[in-house]
Amino acid sequence: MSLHDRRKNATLTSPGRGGAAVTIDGVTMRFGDRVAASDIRVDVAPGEIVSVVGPSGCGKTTLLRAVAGLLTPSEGSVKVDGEAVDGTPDGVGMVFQHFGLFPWKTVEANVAYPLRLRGLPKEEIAARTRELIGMVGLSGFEKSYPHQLSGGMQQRTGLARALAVRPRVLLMDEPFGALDAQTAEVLRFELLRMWEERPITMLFVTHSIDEAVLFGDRVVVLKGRPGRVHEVIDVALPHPRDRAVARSEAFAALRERVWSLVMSPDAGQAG
Amino acid sequence: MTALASRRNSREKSFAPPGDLLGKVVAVVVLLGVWQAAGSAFLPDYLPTPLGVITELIPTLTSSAFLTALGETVGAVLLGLVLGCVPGTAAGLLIGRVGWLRQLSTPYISGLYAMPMLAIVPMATIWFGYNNLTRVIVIALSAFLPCAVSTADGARSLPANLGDVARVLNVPRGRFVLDFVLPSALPFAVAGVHIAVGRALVGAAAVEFLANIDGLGTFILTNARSFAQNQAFAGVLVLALLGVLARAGTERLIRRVAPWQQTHQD
Amino acid sequence: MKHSGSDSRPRGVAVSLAGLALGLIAWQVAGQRDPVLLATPVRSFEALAGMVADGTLPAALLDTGLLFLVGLAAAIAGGVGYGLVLSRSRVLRGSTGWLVFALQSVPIVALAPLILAAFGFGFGAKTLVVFLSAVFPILINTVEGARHAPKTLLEVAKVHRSGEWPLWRDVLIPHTLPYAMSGIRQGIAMAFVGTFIAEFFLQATGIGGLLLSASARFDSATVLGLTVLVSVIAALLMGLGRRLEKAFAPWRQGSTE
Repeated sequence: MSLHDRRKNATLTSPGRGGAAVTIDGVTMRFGDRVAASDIRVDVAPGEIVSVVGPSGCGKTTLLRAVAGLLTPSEGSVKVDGEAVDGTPDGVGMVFQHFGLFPWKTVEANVAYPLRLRGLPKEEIAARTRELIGMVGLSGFEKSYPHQLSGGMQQRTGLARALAVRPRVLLMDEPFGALDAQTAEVLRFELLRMWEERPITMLFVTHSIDEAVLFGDRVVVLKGRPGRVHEVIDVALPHPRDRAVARSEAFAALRERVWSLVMSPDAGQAG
Repeated sequence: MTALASRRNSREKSFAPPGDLLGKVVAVVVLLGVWQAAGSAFLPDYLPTPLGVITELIPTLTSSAFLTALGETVGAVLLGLVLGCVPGTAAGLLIGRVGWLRQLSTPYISGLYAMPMLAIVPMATIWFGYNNLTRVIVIALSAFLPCAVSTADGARSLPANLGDVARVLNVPRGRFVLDFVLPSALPFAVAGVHIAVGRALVGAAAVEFLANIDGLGTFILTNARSFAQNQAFAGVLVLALLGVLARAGTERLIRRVAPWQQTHQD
Repeated sequence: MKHSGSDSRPRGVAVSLAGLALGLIAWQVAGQRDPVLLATPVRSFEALAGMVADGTLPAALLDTGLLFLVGLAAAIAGGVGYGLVLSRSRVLRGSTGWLVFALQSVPIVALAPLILAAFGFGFGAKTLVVFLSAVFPILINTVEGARHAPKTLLEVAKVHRSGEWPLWRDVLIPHTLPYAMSGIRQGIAMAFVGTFIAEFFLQATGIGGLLLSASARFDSATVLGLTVLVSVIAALLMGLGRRLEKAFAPWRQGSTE
């Protein structure tokens, strides 16, 4: 199937890419005297993937939590499809760095958790859970507990749980940061493949510059303490983003550019 | 009660967020108030009251009857602790390192360790009589078991990779015990003493009650029987304080001898 | 933690059993040398059998068991209940948390005469002794558990817009349960001690009462038999407690091995 067919398939129901628009409008995050992020403005179009990179402590995770409604901005606002975020909006899924699985729930129960909270009928929960588990390649492990699984399989479970809400927006909090290099690589391309089939809005926080370029339609570079938007880079790489793209010269050039932005000392001690 | 703070410092901090002084004061006032009211309204003469305890505290603690009792109990506890902890620790090291010895002793150690030491007092009084000897022996036994069990755990708990290190370096057996086993067992040994102290005090009070020999337990008992509840309660407080102080001491000792270890709890 | 070394399990059990047999033989020999102070195992067993036959031992076991169970149940209800309350209320935790630690260091044995004087020696007073003995480890462990609910899981619940009750059902209770269970394991041991405190110092009933009266008669056969019985029961209770602790956290089993 060509890229074009795939895109067409996925977009039968909605014009262009799916997902919601996310508007981060002048967000400042303060904790007591400490300012973690200052006046951040990012607009994410429906179906767009925006990567956020920056050195540790630049407030990228804090920003993600504000979009998730876990933290309230001290100034500014976050809107999802034009609605101000107050608590997590419906249709927002989140994938956590350390998976955030319930150790006392099986894979099945972990994936079904959001559906149970919504009080869906049992049969529907079972059917959708089965489908999601199949989608992330965990069929046969329904009854396993997280501790019986490898890190990669745990994060597959976390991903399935995030997808269970049929998200308009997927928030990724360094989702592959706790995995070994090989596993992370495999999961990256699998997630990209899934996204190509059903493109939704994604805000992708990561430490890895490769990952940021590989996923992002744009890459936002945060810098300084408190973190500010240092630069936004358009990533004009073709879709689908597969291994061939990752080997291309264009990719290498972009990676180099983001790397030098992240490493450049200038905007360092602004606050 | 400042000793308390030092005792379980880390855990207590996690319990009480700072700046809750007002809440604490209110809680104490409410508790003491309810106690005082209940004591004087429903059970006068049968229940010690905060005011009563405060008025009686100094005269009680300075009375010669109390001081004699205190000396008796503390003396017996110290003697019993030494007689229990020293062989207990040695036995623990042996049990921990020698497989067949551990298997041989397991039924006895775990049977006795689980058992309330109180239940051994009737047997002890038959064997040794209603006297100080029984008290010291019960205390020593109460102390022996936790020391042995804890030290044995410590002697066994040498991390596997350290054992590999010793093998790779070709460390001779004597040095292995000295440089590897003892240091890793040491904090466990002190933790054993930590538990032993609490059990020893309880054991002492129990024997004194049952065998009616002079000591803090008997002091509490006689006063409680003669409607001097406040004096009796002062005795209880002192007993509690002794336990707290002793445990604060052993905890400090653990930190001293094994700064790399987290504090043990009983 | 367990460094299993070279001791193979069946051999270990065999050596343990041999140790027990050796002890029994030594006891029998010693008992035959000094039959007054030390009854032989055979005579002790006969004494126990006699008490079973005339019904005193079963009745005493029932008495002791009832006191133990009621006191323990009260301690579990109180300890877990207040523990959960404390875990959700900063105010109560700040104001009464430290009191829990202060009260915990009061030896319950020493309180027995005061409880006897104030509340008498009825079942209620005895239950109070058992309750006080067992409640603190349960309470403290429960609070520890509930206070350290993993932050990520709380976030997961929040992201999925969990209500308060589902939050308890999915996160707080399952997370706290193993902590509460290890508190209950300690509580079981303490309740057993408390049962003897009550039977020795409040009212001589149950096994404790039988021990006291036999001891007063210098009936070493009965005392020895009962003491061994108590130690067996205590070991069984400890085993039961450990079982319980494991059974309530199946998701942990893999990680503890």
